[in-house]
Amino acid sequence: MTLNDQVPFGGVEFADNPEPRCPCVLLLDTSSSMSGRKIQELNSGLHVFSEELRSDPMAAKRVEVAIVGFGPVQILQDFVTADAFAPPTLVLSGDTPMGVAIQTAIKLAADRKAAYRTGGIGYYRPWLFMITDGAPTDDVTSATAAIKEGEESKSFMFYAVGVEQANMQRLTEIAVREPLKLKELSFRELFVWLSNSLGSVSRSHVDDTPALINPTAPNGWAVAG
Amino acid sequence: MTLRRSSTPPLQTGGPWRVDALMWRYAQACVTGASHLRSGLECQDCIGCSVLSDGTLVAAVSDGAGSAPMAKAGSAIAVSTAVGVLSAAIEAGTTDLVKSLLDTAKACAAAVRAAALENGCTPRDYAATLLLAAASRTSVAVLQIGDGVVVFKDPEKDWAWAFWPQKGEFINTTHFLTDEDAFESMQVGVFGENVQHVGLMTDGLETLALQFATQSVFGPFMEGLIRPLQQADHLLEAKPLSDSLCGFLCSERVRSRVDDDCTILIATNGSPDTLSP
Repeated sequence: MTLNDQVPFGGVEFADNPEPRCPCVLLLDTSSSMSGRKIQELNSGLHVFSEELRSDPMAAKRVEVAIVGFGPVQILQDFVTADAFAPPTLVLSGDTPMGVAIQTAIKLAADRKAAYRTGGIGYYRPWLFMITDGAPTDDVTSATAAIKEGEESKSFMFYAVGVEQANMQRLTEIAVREPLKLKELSFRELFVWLSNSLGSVSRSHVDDTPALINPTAPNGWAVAG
Repeated sequence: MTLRRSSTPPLQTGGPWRVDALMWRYAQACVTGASHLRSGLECQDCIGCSVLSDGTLVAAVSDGAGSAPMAKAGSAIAVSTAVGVLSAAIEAGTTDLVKSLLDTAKACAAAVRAAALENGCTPRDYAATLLLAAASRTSVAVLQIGDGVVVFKDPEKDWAWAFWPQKGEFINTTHFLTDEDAFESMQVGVFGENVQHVGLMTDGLETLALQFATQSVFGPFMEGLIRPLQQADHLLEAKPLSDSLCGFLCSERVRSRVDDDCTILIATNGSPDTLSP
């Protein structure tokens, strides 16, 4: 009996296709009010995010991370696959041009989707995830409209998280999805949740709506209302 | 889980699909994906096959929508109705195969909707894709709603696909039999002049069987699957190969690439290869 008789399909070759991608843009407030423990915990949280993603073999290959800091608005990290993501260290800067930051993130995600399409790479709906402790210091009218349009057309998903004295009312006006308030400075828990959520999305199959853990549950990172 | 239809060996009878003593040999497998195993979900794919008295191979695969609570029932109804209705139409001597395919799709949609109504569910609860093929030695007729792919081979040419898998903008979206606009997105066609091999698979195996960048079939994958079947000396289903195929789909090699339910049917109408001693 030959080896082939024993293992008829053992030697079948597989096509070499790129992994589908799950793009995530982090919009991070680095304004001067984020000083002290806030920026420290946020930086630690980014490292946790990177480690958590890397510990999930499928997420490591599929999740792509970009970072837009504000203000001023800077692309601190262009899209990189999670397994190659080395978090930049955030430093405090100026004010809070949230409107421009949001528009920048939306464009970043749209350009990335176009690049995927050109390369024949499949992708999941992008996540735009904003963390801020204040209120916008620029005009957010266009950004608000762009978020509404993007959510309605299912182009992306936009989440806003308020830290400490963040103006939650303003965030509610800007975002379509209800903004959440970070419980104290539990950035670590937030980023564990985010990496798990992205991991679930990145392995979701046709029509799966991945069940995301409720962040406002008792052990969660957010407080409701 | 597979859904099998009892079939009779091919007879040399007349009919509009006049074929010679056609000896289809096939293998099929349908396995639960690792992600469904982890979340305790059952396999939501279904598969069905029948060889008719005139030698036509009728086969269908269906993938239930992940979030649909009755996905498994939806795919099972789609497959059993598809194979049953199309087989009956061909046995009755249809001269318009495309019309028969369209009528079959309508019957599948109606059957699923009826089941939904009976169980107090919405049709969406039963959402599933549908790939249906009727193959002879001279052509393969295909109907497709959603993703997955039907591939076939002419002995003189490379492997070809009937319809490229339909996705929405995002990789985890597609069309379902139960969609309001299912019949707009449905694709129907008759292919080939000389068909020796046929394969049907749900989307889990697309990444192994297709080359996305060039929109082509990855020949070596299909060749690797067909070769043992060509060497098998069975009538109709080569059951040991179906079992091996099942084992292959559950192997570490496949699981490291594919998290999803995997379903495939491969068939050949060539004579068994005689191995040199």
